[in-house]
Amino acid sequence: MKRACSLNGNKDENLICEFHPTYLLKLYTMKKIYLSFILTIFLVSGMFAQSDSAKVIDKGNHGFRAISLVTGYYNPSLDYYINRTGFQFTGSLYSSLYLEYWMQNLPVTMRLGGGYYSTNAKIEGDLNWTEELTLNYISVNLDVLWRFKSIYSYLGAGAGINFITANYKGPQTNQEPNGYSPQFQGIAGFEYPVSTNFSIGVEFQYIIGSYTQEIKSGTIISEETIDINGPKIGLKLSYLF
Amino acid sequence: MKTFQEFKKTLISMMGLVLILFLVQCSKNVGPIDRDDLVLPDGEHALIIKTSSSKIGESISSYQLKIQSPSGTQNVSPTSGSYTITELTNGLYTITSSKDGYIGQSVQFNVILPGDRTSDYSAQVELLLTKSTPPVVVNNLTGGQVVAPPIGNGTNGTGSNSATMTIPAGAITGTGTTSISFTQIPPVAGNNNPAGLKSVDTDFGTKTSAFVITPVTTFSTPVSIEFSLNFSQAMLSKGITARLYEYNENWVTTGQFVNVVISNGGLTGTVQISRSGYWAVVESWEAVFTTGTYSQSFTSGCSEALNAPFSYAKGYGPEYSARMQIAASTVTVSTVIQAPAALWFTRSATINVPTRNYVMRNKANLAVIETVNGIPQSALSYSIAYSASDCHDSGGHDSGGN
Repeated sequence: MKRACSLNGNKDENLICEFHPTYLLKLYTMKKIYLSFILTIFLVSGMFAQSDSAKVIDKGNHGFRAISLVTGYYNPSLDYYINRTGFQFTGSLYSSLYLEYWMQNLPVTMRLGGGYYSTNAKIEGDLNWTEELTLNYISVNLDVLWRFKSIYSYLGAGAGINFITANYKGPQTNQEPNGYSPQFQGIAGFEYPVSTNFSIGVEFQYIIGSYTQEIKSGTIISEETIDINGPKIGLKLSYLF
Repeated sequence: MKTFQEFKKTLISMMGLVLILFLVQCSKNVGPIDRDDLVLPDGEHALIIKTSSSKIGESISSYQLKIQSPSGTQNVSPTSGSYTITELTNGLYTITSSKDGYIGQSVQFNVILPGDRTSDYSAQVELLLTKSTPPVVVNNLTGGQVVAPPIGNGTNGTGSNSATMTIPAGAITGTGTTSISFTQIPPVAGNNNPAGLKSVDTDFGTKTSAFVITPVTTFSTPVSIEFSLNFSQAMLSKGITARLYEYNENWVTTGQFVNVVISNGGLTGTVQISRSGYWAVVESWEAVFTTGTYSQSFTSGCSEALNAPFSYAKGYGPEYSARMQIAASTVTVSTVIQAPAALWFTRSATINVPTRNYVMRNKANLAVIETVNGIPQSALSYSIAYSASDCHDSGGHDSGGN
C-alpha cells in the first residue's frame, strides 16, 4: 500500500516522497543550516574565550559539575504522520534537566538527563469530523561531552530511551497507547559563566531515532516507523557546583 | 591507589557503555491506534407529490392535498405542481388531490425507508386533476349531443380525443331540459389508488379511461357514446377487446358492463348505455408487474469529495404508454451523487433505483403484447447509501454508515 510518488504534480502538496528532488533539496538545505549553527556556536565561543580559571571550563577533578535546565524548540520529522495520515505536526517546545559529572583528569563530562516534549496536531475535516493526536515524549539520556576549555564550548554525543505516549482523541474514542524506543543525539553547545555558580548558554542537538507505532485498521494491525530525527535548539541555564 | 583510580575510571566507562547498549536494545512498540470511523450525517428523506392536469399543457396553480400517513392526516394547499414531505415514517401513505371544478385522484404509496440511518431516500407519486366539463343543456324531447374534451396528449390511447355522447329524442324522461356534464378521466398507472380509477380491478382486464356523466339518471332509450379507442394492429392481432364497466361514485364496480363495438380499424369504440354515472373503459389486457433495482456505485479519491453525475433512463413500451396515457414514456432518473470530503477517507455511495418490469399480455389467452424491464419507478425515486473508508497507506476498512 505504499503511496505512489510522482515527480510532477502530486496532488498532495504535503506529500514529499523519499528520493523526491524537493525532499532531497530540503534535506540538504536543513543540514547546511545545522552545520552553520554549530560553526556559529564555536565562532562565538572563541570571541568569549577566557582563562581556564572559570568553573565552567574545567574543574580539573572528578565530581559533579553542574545541574542544567535546557528549554527550546524541537522539530522531529514525524514524516509518517505528516505524509500519510493528515496529522500535520510542527515543532514544539521541549525542556530537559541534566546532572553533569566530570570524568577524572579529562576535559570530559558525562551527564544524565531527562526531558519532556509534546506536540499536537488535528484533523478537522468536513462532516464535523475532528481527530486530535498528541505525542508526548519523555526521554532519559546519557551524554558524553568533550569540553573545549578556551572557548566555553563543547561537543558530544549521547543515547537515551524515549518513552512515548500517543494520545488519540477521535469523535468516538480516546486512546492512549504507549511504548518506548532508543534515541541518539549529537550535541554542540556554548556555555558562558555569568557568576561563580551560574552559567548561561545555547545548546544544539540533532536527534536520531525512530519508534514503531501500531495502526489498527479493522482487524489488521500494521507497524509504522515514526521517524523522530530532527534538530533541537535550546537555551541553557546551569548551576555550577 | 593509582590502580584503584584506574579501575574506578574503567568501571564507570564500562557502566556507561553497558547503559548505552541497554538503551539501544530497549524498545517497545507504541500500542495500536484504532482510528475512529467517520460519523456520517443523517440521510435526507423526501416524498415528492407531483400534481398536474390530465390535459397536457394545462397548469394547475392551486389545489388541495390530503395526506394520510402513519403519523396522522395533513391537509395542505400547494401553489405549485410539486409538494415534498421530508419527515417520513415507514408505512402506507394515502394521498388525495382535489380542486373545485376538477375530478381528483387518490393514490397509496408504501414508504419503506432504508435501514441505514445515513442513506438518502427519495420517492415520487403522481396525481392528476381532471377538469370537469361544464354542463351542456339538452332538450329532453329532442335529445342532443354532448362532447367530452380529450385527456392526455391527444395522440394516443383511449380518451386522447374527444368523446361524443348522443342522446336520442325522448331518452331523458319528462319535458324541459337537462344539464348534462360529460367528462373523460384518466386512470392511474398502478394498482395503488384506492379511491380513484384503478387500472386493474376487474377480471376482464385493465381500465384505460373513464366517463363521468352527471347527473346520474336512467335513460328510457339507450344513449350511445363514441370515443377514440386507438387500438394498434398489435393489440388487435392479439385479440384485445374492450368493455364499458359501470361504477358507483366511489369507483366500486356494480358488475354491469356493455361490450365496446370496435370499428374503423380499431380507432373508434362505440357503446350504448342505459344509465349515466360512472363508466370505465376496460380493455382485455393486463400488465403483470414485477420489481427490481438498478444500482450504481461511485467512489472518490482518498480525501476527496464525491461529486458524480448519475443518470439512468428507461421507457415504457409504446403499447403500454399509449393505453395508459403516459405522455413521456421514458423515465429518467438524473441526480448528482455528492458526499463531502473527509481527510484520509475515501467516500463511496451506491444509488439504488427501484425499477418495474412488466409483461403486457392478453388477459384471456396470455398472448404477449410487449415486455419491458428496468423502468425507473419514477424520475425521483431512489435511495443513496453512503460509506467512508479509511484510506491511509497502512490499510483501510469500511466505516459503513453508522
